[in-house]
Amino acid sequence: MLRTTRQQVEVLAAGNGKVRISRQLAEVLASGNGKMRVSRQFVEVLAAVPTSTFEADATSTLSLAHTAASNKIYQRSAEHSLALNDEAVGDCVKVGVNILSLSHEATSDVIKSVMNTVDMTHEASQLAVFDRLIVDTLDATEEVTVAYVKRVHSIDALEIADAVAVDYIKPIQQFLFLTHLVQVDLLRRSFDTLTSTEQASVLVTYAQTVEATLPLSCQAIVNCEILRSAEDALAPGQMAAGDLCKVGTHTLTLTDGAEVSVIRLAHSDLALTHQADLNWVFIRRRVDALALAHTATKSAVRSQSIIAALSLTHQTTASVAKLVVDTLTMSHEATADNIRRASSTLVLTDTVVVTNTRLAAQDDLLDLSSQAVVGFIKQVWAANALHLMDRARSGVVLGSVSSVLQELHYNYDPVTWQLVPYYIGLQDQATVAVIYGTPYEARSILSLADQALGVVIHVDAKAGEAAHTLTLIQSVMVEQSPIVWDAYHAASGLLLTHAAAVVLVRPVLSTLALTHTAAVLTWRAALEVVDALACTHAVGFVLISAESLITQYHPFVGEGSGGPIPPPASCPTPTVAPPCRLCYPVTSPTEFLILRSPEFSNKDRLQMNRISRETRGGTLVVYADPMWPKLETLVLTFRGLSASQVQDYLMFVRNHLGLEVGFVDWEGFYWKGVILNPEEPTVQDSKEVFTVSFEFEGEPAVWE
Amino acid sequence: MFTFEAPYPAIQTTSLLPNPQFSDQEGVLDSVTRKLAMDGTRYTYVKRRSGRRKLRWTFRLTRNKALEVREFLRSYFASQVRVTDHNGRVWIGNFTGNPFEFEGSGRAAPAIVPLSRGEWWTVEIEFEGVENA
Repeated sequence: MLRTTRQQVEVLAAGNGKVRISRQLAEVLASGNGKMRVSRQFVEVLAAVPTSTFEADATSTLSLAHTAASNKIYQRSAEHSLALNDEAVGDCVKVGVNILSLSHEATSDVIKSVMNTVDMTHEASQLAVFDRLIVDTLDATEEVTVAYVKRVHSIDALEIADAVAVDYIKPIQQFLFLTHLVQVDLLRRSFDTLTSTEQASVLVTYAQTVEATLPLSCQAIVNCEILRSAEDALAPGQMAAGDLCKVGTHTLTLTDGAEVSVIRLAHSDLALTHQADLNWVFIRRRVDALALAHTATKSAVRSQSIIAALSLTHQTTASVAKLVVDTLTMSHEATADNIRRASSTLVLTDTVVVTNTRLAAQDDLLDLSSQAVVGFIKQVWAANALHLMDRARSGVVLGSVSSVLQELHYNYDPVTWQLVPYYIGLQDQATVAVIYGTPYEARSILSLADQALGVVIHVDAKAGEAAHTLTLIQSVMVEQSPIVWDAYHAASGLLLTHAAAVVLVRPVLSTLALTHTAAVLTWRAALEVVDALACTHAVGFVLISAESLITQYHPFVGEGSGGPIPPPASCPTPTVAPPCRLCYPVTSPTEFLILRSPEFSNKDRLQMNRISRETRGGTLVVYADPMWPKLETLVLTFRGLSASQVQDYLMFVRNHLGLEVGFVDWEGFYWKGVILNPEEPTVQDSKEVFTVSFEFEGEPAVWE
Repeated sequence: MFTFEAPYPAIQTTSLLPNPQFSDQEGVLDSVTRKLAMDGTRYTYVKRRSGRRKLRWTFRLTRNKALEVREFLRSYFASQVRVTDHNGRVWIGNFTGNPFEFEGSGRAAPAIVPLSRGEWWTVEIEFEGVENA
C-alpha cells in the first residue's frame, strides 16, 4: 500500500520486465481501498510501449510519439490530451479525452471516445469512430481518411476537407462541411447545415430530422437524397444535379443548370427557372406555389393534394399534371399535354396548348382566350362554366351527364314546387367543333345566345303539364337540320343561329312561337300537348217548395265546369256505429279507447288558407290555390269518464304521441288525424267523475 | 229565407238557409284619416272601397243544414258568392271569416238519417261584398 503525498520518481531502468518508464511524477493525495488514486500524472514514454495500456484514473497527458505503438488503450476517465504523433499507432482507443490528435502518419483503427476535439491531419487515418457523447469538433483535413463514423450524439462541427474521403457517416451534428474534393458515400443524419461545394459529392443522404440548409453549388452532385422531414431550404444551383430527392422543404429551388430527376416532397415553394429540368415531381401535400419559368421543363407532376397555384409560363412544358389546384395558369407558349385534376380555375392564354384535360371535379371557371387551344376535355362531374372566347376553339367530348358548355340556371315551378333547370351557353362568336353525346344518357340543352341565337327555355307554371316554350326571335334562322345523335330519348336542344350550328330538338311543347323571320327547316317534335283554354259554364236552380228545405241537407247543385267541386248532393251518412272512440292504427285498427259522447259546445273549425288582396279601387280579390292546405279541427270535451277510462286515455295519448290515430265521432263519422294538445290535463270533477278535453286535427276518412 | 249562391257569376250551387239570429251586423269599410296642419287646419283623407260592406250573420241551424253549410264553405271559401239576405237585398262578395267555426249547441230535430236524435248548431258567417241593386 502506498501512502504518499507529492511523490516524484524517476525510473531509469527496466522495471518488472514490462514497463520502462523514465521520469514519473505522481502526486498522490491519499490511499483508497487497495487501489491507487492518482491525480496529475505525467508519463513520458521513451521506448517500447506496452501492448496494452489500462489507465484507471485521470491522466493529464498521454503521448505516443514517433514510432510508439499502442494496440489498445482504454481510458475510462477524463483525460485532457491524448496525442498520437508521427508514426504512432493506436489500434483501439477507448478514451474520454479533451483532445485527441492523430497527426502525420498516425493511425487509429477504432476509437470509441468522448472527446472534445479529434484532429486528424496529414496522412492520419481512422477506420472507425464511435462517439456516443458530445464531440465539439472533428476535423479531418488534407489526405485524412475516415472509413466509418457513427455518432450517437450531437457534434458541433464535422469538417471534411481537401481530399478527405468518408465512406459512411451516421452523425447528428450542427455543421457538416464537405469542401474541395471531399467525397461522402453515405450519410444518414440530421444536421443543421450540410455544405457540399466545388467537387464535393454525396452519393446517398438520409436525413431523418430537421435540416436547416442543404445547398449544393457549383458542380456538387447528390445522387440520391432522402429527407424525411422538413427542411428550410434545398437549393441545387448552377450545375448541381440531384437524381432523386425525397424531401419536405420550405423552399426547393433549382436554378441555372440544376437538374433533379425525381422529387417526392412537400414543400412551400418549388421553383424551377432558366434551364432547370425536373423530370418527375410527386407532391402529396400542400404546395403553395409551383412555378416553372422560362425554359423550365417538367415532365410529370403528380399532386395528391391542394396546390395553391401552378403557373407555367413562357416556354414551360408540363407533360402530365395530376393536381388539385386553385389556379392553373398557362401562358405564352406553355404546353400541358395531359392534365387530370380538379381545379378551381384553369386559365389558358395566348398560345397555350392543352392536348388532354380531364377534370374530375367541379371547375369554377375554365377560360380559353386568344389563341388558346384545348384538344381534349373530359369532365366527369359537372362544371360550372366553360367559356370559349374570341377565336378560341375546342373539340369537346362530353363523357357523362354534364353541362360543360352551359351555365345552369333554375326557374321555380309553382305548380310542381320544383326547380326547373335551363341552360345558357356559348356566347360571342364561339364555335363548337364537335359534340358527341353519350348515347344512353339524357343530354342537356345547348343554347347559343347573342349572335348565335338559339335560346331554349324550360317553361314553368304550365298547370299539370311538362311544358316548354321555344321562342325564336329576331332574325333567327335554322341553317341546317340538326343531327340527332341519340335516337332513344327525347333531348331538348335546338340549333338556331346565324352561323352557329347546334343540335336537335324532340321536346313536347306547349307553345311554339315563331316570330319575325324565324324559320325552321327540320323539326321533330310531338305536338300532342297544348294548353287548355278554360271555358266554364254553370246552370243553377232553386226549388222553393217546403219549409223543410231550410232544415234538411238540400243544396241545389246544377250543372257546371271549371269552378270548384260543388258540395255533394246528398247528406253525408255515418259509416260506423257509435259509441264515440279513439282507435289506432287508422286502417284496420287494433287498439280502441271507448269514450262517451262529447259535451255540447263542441266545435268544428274549418281553416282554409287563402289570400285576400284589395285593388287600388277598393275591390276585394280572394284567391286560394287548390293545393294549399285545408285544416279541420274538432274541439271536444268528454265528461263523466271513470278513472280507468281516464288512465286508458292518458296511456293511449302517450303511446301514440304525434301519430295519426282514428276517431269515431258521436254520429258515426270516421276521422283520421292527430291530437294536438296531449298536454291538456284531465280534471276530476267529483268522485269517479273525470273530464277529458282534446283538439283533434284531421280529415274525414273511410272506416276499413 | 237566406240564400248562398256560388260560384258567382257562373252559379252552380245554391243553399237555402233560415234567417239569421238578431244582432246581425252591417258596416261600411271606407276609412278616414285626419291630419292637422300647423295652423290648425284639418285635412281629411278618405279611402273608399267601392261601396263594399262587411256583414256578419249568426245562423242557428239543424245538424243537417249545418253539414250543408260546411260542405258549401269547403267548396266556395275562396269563390265569389251571391248572397240574398233576409231582407231581400242581394250582395256580391266573398266570405272573409277564418276559421269558420261550427258549434254544437243542443238537441233538436230532425236527425241525420239513420240517427235517432238531432242537434242544432250555430255558425257565424263574415262576409264582405257590394250590394247588387
